[in-house]
Amino acid sequence: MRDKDVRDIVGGLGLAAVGLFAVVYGQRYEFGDLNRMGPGYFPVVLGLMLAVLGVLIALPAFFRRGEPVTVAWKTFGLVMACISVFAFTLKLLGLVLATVLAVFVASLADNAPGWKWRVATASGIALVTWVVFKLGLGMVLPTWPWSP
Amino acid sequence: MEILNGLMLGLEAAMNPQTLLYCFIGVFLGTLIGVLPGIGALATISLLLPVTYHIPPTAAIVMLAGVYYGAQYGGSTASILLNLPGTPSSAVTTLDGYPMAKQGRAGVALFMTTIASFVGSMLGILVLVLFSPAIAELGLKFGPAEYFAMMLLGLVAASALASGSPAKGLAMVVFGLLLGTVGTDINSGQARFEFGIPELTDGINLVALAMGMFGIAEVVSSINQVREGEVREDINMRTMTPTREDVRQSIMPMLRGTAVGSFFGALPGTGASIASFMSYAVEKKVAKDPSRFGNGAIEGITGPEAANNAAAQTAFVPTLSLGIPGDAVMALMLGALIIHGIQPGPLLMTQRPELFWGLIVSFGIGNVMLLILNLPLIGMWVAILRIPYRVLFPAILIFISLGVYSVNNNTFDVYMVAFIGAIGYLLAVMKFEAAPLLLGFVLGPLMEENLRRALLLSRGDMMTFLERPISAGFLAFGAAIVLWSVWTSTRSFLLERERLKDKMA
Repeated sequence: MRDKDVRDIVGGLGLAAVGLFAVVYGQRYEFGDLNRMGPGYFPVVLGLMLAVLGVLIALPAFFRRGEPVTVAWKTFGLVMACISVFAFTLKLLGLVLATVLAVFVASLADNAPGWKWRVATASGIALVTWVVFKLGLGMVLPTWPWSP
Repeated sequence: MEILNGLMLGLEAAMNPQTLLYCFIGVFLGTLIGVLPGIGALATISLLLPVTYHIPPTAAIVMLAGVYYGAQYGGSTASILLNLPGTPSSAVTTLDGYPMAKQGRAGVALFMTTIASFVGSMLGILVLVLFSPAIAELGLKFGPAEYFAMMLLGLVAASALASGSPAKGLAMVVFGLLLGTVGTDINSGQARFEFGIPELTDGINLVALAMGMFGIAEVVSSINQVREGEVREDINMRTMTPTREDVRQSIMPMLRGTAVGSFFGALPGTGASIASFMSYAVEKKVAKDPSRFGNGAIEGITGPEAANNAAAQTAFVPTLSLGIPGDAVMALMLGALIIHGIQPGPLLMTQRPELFWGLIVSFGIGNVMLLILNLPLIGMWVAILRIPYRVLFPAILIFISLGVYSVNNNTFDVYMVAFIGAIGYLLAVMKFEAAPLLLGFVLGPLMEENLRRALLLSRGDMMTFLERPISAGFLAFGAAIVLWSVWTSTRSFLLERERLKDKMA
């Protein structure tokens, strides 16, 4: 199994699943007919097409050799964490602290050792962000946790 | 004559100090983000959209356009110096640009790509000026069936020309179309696929989708990448001067590149990236000694760079004269126009001629600015590229998050970027291309609308698409592309089977 074209199999089946979901979930919207297309028409038809395409992609892949897939899981997780942390803390802690925290989390993705550069980068980016977004573009955001 | 009048009008509109200032800001920013890998015209234009709310429409569009074609100038810098493309359309420049740098000819490469970009742009503008009025005329005859057929052609072209199998490209297009249905259906007022989340009733945020699919995936794959030995060459006017041979070898590639680029730029569904790849293929085909390619052949960089700039200019042809975006960036431009209360389409030229021609004249001015800027500033771009990626990428992530946040001022959109980024990265790892998805997403609502209307007018008769000549023409072209790609994939599938059979025997 390992030497099959995993990419197309997983991708194809994944998309087929999405398509199937659209067809099933789309049943709750009125379908209508060709003359007067209801809100459900387009999504259900598209879902069907996607499901068929997904299968068409996955099937030949079972008979093909493919290269192994490498997913950078740790990097991936940390990038997701960085953005989520930022979203979570933005209104709570204000722009500066949210940026420092998020950048620190993101910097863990890079393998270079040490913590000093991470702190420096976090502070530097927080400063640049404040200058560009608050000062330059005038965005409405609390700067510190105690700001209005 | 009409064209000359238009240009005069445009000159008047473009020459005011405010417009010129925003033009400068646009092209400067554009080159900067073009130079930086991982952040491109798409992300920057999305970030700047909210800023444009406060400035007059002409200045706004001039600035955004400046970012777009400016990025095509800067993209080659990282390709040549770091073997990392600054923009997707500069990817092909790494093939011969980086070898040139290793041979100590980085300065010449940078100089020639700037000239090639300028030539491509200016000639592309010429095409834009000559063809837009004619196409707008044609566009007045377009009904919903024609618009639908044209968009379908664009999507088919996008999926067929995507790298990887056309089936995967098509699947991404359909996925994008499906994602476009999320939100409130205009005709019936029915909220679709919002899963009870109020923020989704307006649909998925375009900026979040674009950033998530392109930006996040790009960043995740670039972290911890070993940057090949950096070029330590001293870049100054002396090292940048090309030899007579270089110039002689580059003239035809630039012209051919412009032709290729102008064509693919104007076609909906294809853009600067396809243009540059095609140009490289063309140059390799017509070269007397194809083996030089990949080892520092100057045609391998001047052709594609002229092509991507020409494509960036002619991409405005369908956008301005028909109101149909050729790619995701054009879709954002359209969005910006609509926000300012301007309705793009065939009537734009007659209703707002000063905007249309002013924009075109600003392209010319902008490109001249870029030529003057880029030559002395190459040193500065080189210095910026020396910033280690581990300092750059967190900044990119924060900028993306804030940019998305600024559209609706709500944190839900930022979570969306993370979620979409996850899907985008996984899809990228599985080698499913993001561009067709974005195009499908942008065109989806428009296509549904036009399909509905066309069928309403024809009382449910699907034959209307074939009965109307222009629509039939688009569909025929689309069918030809589909048949061609089915044929090439069947052929490679059969070859594969033969090979396996031989192995078994």
